[in-house]
Amino acid sequence: MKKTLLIGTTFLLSSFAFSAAVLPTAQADIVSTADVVAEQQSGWNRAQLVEQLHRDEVREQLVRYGVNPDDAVARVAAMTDAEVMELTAHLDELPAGAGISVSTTVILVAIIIWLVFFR
Amino acid sequence: MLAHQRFLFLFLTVYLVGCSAAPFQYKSLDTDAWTAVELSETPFYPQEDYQCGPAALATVLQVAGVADATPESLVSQVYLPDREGSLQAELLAATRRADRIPFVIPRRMDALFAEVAAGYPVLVLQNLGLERWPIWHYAVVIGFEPGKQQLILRSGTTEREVVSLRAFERSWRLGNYWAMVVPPIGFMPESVPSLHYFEAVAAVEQQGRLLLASMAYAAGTERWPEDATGYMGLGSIAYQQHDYANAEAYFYRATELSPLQPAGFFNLAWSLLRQERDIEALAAAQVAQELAPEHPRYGQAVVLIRQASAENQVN
Repeated sequence: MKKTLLIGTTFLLSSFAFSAAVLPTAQADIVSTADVVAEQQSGWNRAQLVEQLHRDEVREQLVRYGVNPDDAVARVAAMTDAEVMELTAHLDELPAGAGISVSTTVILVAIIIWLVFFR
Repeated sequence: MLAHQRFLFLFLTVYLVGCSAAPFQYKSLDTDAWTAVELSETPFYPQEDYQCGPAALATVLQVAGVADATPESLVSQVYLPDREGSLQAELLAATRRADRIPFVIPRRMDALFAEVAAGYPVLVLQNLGLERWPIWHYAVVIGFEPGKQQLILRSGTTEREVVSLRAFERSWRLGNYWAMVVPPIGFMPESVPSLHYFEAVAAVEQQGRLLLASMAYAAGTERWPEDATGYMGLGSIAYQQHDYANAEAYFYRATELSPLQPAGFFNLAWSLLRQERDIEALAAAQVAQELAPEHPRYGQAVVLIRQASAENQVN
């Protein structure tokens, strides 16, 4: 069990080892205040390793929505881990204030619901 | 665009009456407890096109003393061209980039009132459409008249929009009662509980804005002297600045206030080790480990400190 976990971790690590900044710093130092707060909120377990992957994902999504790639880097860097996680999970559904953009997915979902339940 | 929005809003409010389950907060609001407030000095940026996010953010940043914040300068930080709008997380992030701390306030009408009464205009997310057919909009609440059940906003192209509490709450509720404030440096939000306060401060600490964070931690420990988190933050900043003696003092205080939290003892161990007080460091690590033996970090506290101590001996 422990061995597979180790192999899995090694694999995951090596898969993005090209970026030195991605490697988690060794735990041989103090706990950050952000972690302390997170511990108070949700217990002592946090997947730190995965977070950098999420940051890259959010950055790519911003670029996909028309943000200049350089701006996207700075924009994601100013977010907290929790904000990044929220955006990874729901960026498409999250409110983007000021748009009158009626999302086509909403309409589609409404049509599907209508087809499934009301016909 | 806005005339269209307002028409739709009117139409939908008529449509929506009686559709919602939970009672509206404004009905149970104690109007006698509040006196009318209007922050009329709040600047106004007419929000054209879809850029109410940058405009609303510029409004609150200006009040927080960020003189160079304008809607134009914020577009590249918060606007999503293909979504024609701005995300909440990006408004928070851009505030940090302006060297201010954004606080999301509790989802309550009285929290909103408390912030405005304290002099902070409140940036709110509204849904002017339907739950399933949203028209998202950011506006800034700058005042209220409890006697008349009215709220005053800077919104869109309207400099002073007066809306009924009922109409406002309907749109704000559909925005899940989301609102943020940006106090000037050295000031604190009125309604934010300690844990969320320190969470917001830790976010700017994590980005290396240490002076800003240390002032805010210090203010937090003054307001909540029994809360260890502020001392954890101050200790962490001292540690990052290699001021290990002060870090030790702060972490020690944190362990006094929260004797069951392993983090305080763990960090105390490191600041002792950095002062070459290895035996005391090991003792603190021992406590951290006993408090959370299964934890991937605290459960290894003794081993980690012992290793680092051995490395110190070699060097």
